[in-house]
Amino acid sequence: MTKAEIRTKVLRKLRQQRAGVPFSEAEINQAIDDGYAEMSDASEWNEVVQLLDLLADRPYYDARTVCGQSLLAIGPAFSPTTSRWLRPVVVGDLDGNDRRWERVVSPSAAPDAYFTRGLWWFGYYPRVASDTGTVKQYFTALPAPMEDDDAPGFHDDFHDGLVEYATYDLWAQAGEATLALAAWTRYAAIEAGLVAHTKSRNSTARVAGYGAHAQ
Amino acid sequence: MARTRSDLTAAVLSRLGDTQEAIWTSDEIDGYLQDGLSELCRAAKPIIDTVYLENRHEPFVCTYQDELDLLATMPGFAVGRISRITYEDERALLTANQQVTTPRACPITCPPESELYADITPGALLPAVGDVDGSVIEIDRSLYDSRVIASLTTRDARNIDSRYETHAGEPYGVVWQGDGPRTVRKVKRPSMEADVVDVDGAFGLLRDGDDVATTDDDVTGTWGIARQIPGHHPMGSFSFGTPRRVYLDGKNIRLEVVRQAAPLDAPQDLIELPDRYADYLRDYAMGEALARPGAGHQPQLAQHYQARWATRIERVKARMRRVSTQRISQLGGSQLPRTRPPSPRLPWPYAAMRM
Repeated sequence: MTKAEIRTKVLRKLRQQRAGVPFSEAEINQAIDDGYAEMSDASEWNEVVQLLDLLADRPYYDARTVCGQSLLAIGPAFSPTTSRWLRPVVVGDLDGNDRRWERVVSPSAAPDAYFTRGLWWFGYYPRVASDTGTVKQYFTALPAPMEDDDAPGFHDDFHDGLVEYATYDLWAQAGEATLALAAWTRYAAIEAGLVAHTKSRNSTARVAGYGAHAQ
Repeated sequence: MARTRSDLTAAVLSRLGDTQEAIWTSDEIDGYLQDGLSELCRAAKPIIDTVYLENRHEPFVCTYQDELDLLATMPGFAVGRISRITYEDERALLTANQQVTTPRACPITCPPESELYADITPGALLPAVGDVDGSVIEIDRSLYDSRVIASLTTRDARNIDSRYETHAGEPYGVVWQGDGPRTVRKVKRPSMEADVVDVDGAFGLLRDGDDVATTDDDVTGTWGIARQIPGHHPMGSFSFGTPRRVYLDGKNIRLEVVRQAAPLDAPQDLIELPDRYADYLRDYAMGEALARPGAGHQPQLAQHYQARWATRIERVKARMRRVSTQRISQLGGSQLPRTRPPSPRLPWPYAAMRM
């Protein structure tokens, strides 16, 4: 469904529930945009990757300047130099192993591990000796807002979630608690489906270990 | 573009259908937004920042004759303290003798200038405590010379060294107890003064890295102001603007702290969170506004918004823990146990073998 089609469906749904819909097209669009952000936030389906230049003297990198204000979370990192995924570590582990780990310089000119500090700072260990090399850093972020002829980026099965969210949001703004909460319940079920789909959509195709094998 | 307080207040009033502020005032909504921001920062701790407990002689501000008299009565203590006059009239209060002996009034505005008055610093003690501002929630890490040092309780510090407040040497810990809610004590009291950068020139903004003689890095770009200094983490509520002070790690104590976001005092104040997280505050304010008894009271919807808020706080916490949960742990820990090694014993068949 495109955004225009979603808006039509929202209008139809609102009219089914109450005669005389008191919402403007702009308000419906805003509710759909909010729903798109909420579903994307809850499920983190929109993964982005940035090739970052490594800097020798950078203590921590700022995900807000890499991803912009659409940042949701910092993801894993891959080193093109070593062709390996970096190990996720926490600063407490590094502190426990070497109290001066901040001064350790990578012999291979590539970091071996990554860590986060707070919600948007992240860093690499060990640091590089000069401003050379890159890291492919993954993030999850909000998708770009939809235009009328854009469809949501996630799977078609879950597009109805935006209809339910917009219905919920508009009724909540109108103070119609019963209608709003009923729509929220329907929305929450679709959101849970999208979250599960994002996290484990390939689980059924996975080959099990320890001798078990699906027939 | 980051959200401002007025963006969110307008959005909340619009969603409440009360843009005329007949039921809820914008001041009330502003208060809810501030409450939500504080609660999110307290509960999820998303903001990490850096603070220095500088091992430098403290500038001393002297504005009254009484203060000068007080200093004059304890020259031994005041030696090395640098006083600063703020009005020309104050200079007139000093006698000619006072201007050349202790205490001395010097217009010190930054550490490098204090180097010029090195002749009055011998014998002066370096500060054993430093302050953190009211936004700091907790100290996450403490470092001296880029080495992690301990976070101690006063009991720990007393047990290790009962003269920890006076013994000078290389600091091995910090104590955030016993000296007031914003004062952090260094253990031991530092004995070496931290280095400071030499700044080329005497006025104006920091223009590029070359102004700071101890850094030797290329400047990215060809115009504008210096935005960041290599090797230094941007400190403070926002990372824009130009660096005002440059701290060197060598003999300083660096704290990595969890802090509150910058307060939302004015309508144009930016919310120090990515936009999506700023939007959480809008729904928090909706919940609080609808929960207020009186006109507009909507307990069902208020409860719903409050439940969504709780879910979102947990979402932020989960994202903060994500790297921790993804890391591969080593059974038994990656460090050797810190217990006493086993006592040496004879092998069990030793007696039989002697026979």
